[in-house]
Amino acid sequence: MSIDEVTSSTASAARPVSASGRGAALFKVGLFALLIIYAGFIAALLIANISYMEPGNIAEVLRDPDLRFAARLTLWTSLLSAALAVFFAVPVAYALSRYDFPGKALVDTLVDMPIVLPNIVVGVTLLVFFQTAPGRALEGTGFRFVYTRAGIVLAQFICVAPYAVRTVAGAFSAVDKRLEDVARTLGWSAGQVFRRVTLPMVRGGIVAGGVIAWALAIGLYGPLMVFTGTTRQVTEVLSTSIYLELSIGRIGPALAISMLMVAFTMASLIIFKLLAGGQSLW
Amino acid sequence: MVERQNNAMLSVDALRMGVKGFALRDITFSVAEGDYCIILGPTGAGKTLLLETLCGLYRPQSGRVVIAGRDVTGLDPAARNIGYVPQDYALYPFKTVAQNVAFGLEARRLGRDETRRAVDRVLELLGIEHLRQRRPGKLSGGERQRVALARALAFQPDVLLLDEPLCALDEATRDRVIDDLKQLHADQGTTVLHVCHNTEEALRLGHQCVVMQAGRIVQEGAMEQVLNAPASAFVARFLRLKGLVRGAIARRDGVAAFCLDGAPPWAMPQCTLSPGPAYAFFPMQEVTVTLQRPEPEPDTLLLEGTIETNMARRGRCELRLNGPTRLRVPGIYPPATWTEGRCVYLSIPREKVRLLPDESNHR
Repeated sequence: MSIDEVTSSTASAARPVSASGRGAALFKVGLFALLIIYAGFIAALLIANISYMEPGNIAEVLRDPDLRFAARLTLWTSLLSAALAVFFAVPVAYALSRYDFPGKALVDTLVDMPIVLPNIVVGVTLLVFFQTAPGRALEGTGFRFVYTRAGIVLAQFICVAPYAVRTVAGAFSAVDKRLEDVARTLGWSAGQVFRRVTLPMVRGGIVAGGVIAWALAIGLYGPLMVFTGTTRQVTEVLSTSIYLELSIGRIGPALAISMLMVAFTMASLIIFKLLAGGQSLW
Repeated sequence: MVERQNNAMLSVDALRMGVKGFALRDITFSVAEGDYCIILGPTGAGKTLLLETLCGLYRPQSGRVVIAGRDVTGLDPAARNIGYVPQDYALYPFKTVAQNVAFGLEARRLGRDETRRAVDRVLELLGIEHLRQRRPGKLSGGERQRVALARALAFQPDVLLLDEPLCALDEATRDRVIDDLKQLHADQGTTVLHVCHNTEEALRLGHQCVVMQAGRIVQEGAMEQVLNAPASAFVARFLRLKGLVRGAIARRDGVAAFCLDGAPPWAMPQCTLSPGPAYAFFPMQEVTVTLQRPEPEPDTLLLEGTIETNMARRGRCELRLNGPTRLRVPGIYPPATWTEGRCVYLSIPREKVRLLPDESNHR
């Protein structure tokens, strides 16, 4: 083969590579254009809210005793419901990700149900449940839920627990079963293997499940309006405060509360993403 | 306690086990104390499932597993005192190397000092003391393999079960690890059951060999015995033994003969196989190759071929023959004058030839 032949064959071989390179560049440009439009729209919403507020709104909200009560109530109810969600999510997620049993598909669907139900339906369902015999029997034990703060925790728990279950189940599924098998051959019982191998492996997933449950509980609104109402200094939480503020025409404080919640939710999501290590939710 | 048979450290008796449409059937074998036994078989033969059943990760449907004189068939993995190294090593990423190695000792509730001494001993034994504080994610394949071995050996198990421990290593590392495994076994005297599908690995490490096919053991015995007398054409082919030729058995006047195309029939009076397609196997180290036709001898069989390639001229110890047998004759360095196309004669002692049924014929 002469040098000329080599040069021409190299040039012809290079052509398809450069064509595919242009295609890849166009593909990348298209992707980033859509990404910028989408993220930009959400950023524009936030900027619009901030620009609509007056400078003193945030301070006003932080000084208002009713709103301070609502913030405190939001904090402890959401923490409690997130803790309950994690408490149930760990065993439920482990059972769903590790074992096959009759009716598993049905149980799996029931666990997911609150994710797809409109939140207001959860509120109505809870209200109806406590009018039935099992609900009345439960309230007969002394635990009152309807129109109470305990009801806020219950409604938040029902709505956020499935997200915690899915996050933790994803973490359990990612654990190589062989790690558990080897621990058993090394002399550990099944319970010890769960505590000493499986749980440390899913620590990030459990924290991520807790964070997402907490963030969602803070923002929950629909079922609370139906099931617990929103009475000042009794059952008012920040999400329902926004409604109350809007209903009496105080747009500035309503936006200020919204922006405080946005800041908190963004911080929670960043923590969640770091801990979940890029795993998808389900 | 169960009485040990022939000093067996591990004995498996009529084991049956089924999982997800695959079954281990009538698995019976034993490994003497201090022996190195290789379980060989193609992918899907059930080797890993057998190892996991011996670990106690699966309950057998029937049969018995005895380790160090104890019937462990119904026991949990934790109570079997076995060291297990799975294919991917399964090191705990959230523990350091020292913590990984100490994990089995902690389960035995040894004191802190005793645990530290045992960890030091085994890390030194495997030459990985310098890795003590590293996490598994920062180790090479060979280092991870040593850590997994150290973890399995630290609590001095009765039997060490290795599931293809070398398959993820590059060739040079594998070579070094095989030498290390041999040395470790010689020093420690631990009874080892090593699953692999690499014949060379098996030849270098094993004293004893169990060959599996489709959930059954098709041959078991000392390594030399299996290599010199494979029980079936499958075993010979799987072990890549060279002296296997396909022909047919015919009977003339009540005497069996093995017939190869283009060669005079071999009279095989001891043959009990029915007429039909069959294989003849002869260990290549028993074969004499000459350029001149040898004088006929009553107990020597003769095979003729032409040289296709003299691999000695390419630095390999092998002669390839043309003709119906298409034999590869390893282990000889034929002179360079043995050029392609020349005729050679293979003299094979009749008593070294084994006739094997053609299994494909029975399917």
